[in-house]
Amino acid sequence: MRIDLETLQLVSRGFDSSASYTFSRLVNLTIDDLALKNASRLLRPACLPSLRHLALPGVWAEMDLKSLKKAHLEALLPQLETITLEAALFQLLPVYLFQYIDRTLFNFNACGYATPGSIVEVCHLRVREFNSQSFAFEMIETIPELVSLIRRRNPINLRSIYLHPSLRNPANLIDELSDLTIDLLEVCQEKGVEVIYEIQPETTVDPWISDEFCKRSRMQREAEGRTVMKRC
Amino acid sequence: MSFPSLPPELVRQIIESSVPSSFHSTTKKERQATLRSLCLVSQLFQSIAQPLLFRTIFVNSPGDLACALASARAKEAYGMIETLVVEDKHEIWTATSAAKKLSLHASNLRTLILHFTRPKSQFRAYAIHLHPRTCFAFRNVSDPSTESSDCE
Repeated sequence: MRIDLETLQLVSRGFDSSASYTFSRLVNLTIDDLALKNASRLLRPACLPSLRHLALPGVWAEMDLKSLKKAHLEALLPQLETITLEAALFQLLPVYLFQYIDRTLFNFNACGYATPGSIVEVCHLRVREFNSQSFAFEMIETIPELVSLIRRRNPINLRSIYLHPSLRNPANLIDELSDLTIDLLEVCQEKGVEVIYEIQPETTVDPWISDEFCKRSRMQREAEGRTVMKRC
Repeated sequence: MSFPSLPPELVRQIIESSVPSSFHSTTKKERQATLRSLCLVSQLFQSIAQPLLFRTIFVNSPGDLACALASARAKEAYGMIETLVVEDKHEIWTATSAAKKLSLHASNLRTLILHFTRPKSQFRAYAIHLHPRTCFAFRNVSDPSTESSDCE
């Protein structure tokens, strides 16, 4: 029996792709920093001819760059419609990934990380753990920095920001979070940054590839295609 | 108009919109409980809710796996399984068994999510290999006899 997977998500040290296999119908692939170390033979166009969406959660440290280099992602990138990366990788982003920044969604973990100034240079940002009340203390420092960075940057590359649906109604949040959310929404409106509410990955078994981002990227490409057709 | 007299397409839309369309760790319990309850309402509800119930199999213990496979077998629902999520906190064989069984029966499996939480030292003996025909298989590196050879 043949199983043609369309989605594969590997979060594991145990993964081994020492042999070369072809996933002819695989469209979505999520592979974390641990699995990436052994996936160098998998991330090739010949092995993944139908791949359109790639997510690399947990890939952000300098040592992960070695795995990225070994994986030879460059050849795979042109066929991808969306890429999902950690925002912490942005400062170390290899040049070959930088040119695909308009189709990349960067995950920004609002808790426990410093807010890099470069964060607002990305086009699409998913702010994670912003809805978690248990992390409110850390976010009280992090989110105002993000708001300030967005406000100061002119012009701004940031086109969309992805938030948890619970932030749609800030009045339901605790006071500190409510104020932070209102500030963030206001500055986004002021700067023309679209706010998109979507359920977010909370554990490593959750889907990391954003349906909304995929949908919007597809619509964007179709709109661009129509424009080109009209010009012709 | 009473509920049973609604067109099945409309009932299907109502049922599908009552549960999240895809797997998420925060909603999985509620989703499965809702679908199980809906299966008990009527034959019409069961015919719609049961495929949704079996669409996603979440396994994080040997007990989970045994239950899921026994139910799928009893309801002849292997063909309904589209997503397998394995979060292996306990024993590597959970994933191994799930992969073997499902690669034999779940012809419509399209999504595979694997998360292993065992410490690195305990993982040395195992490797996950992607099988060219069934796409995945698991093998105990130190014991080649455990290789998933029945995956065709």
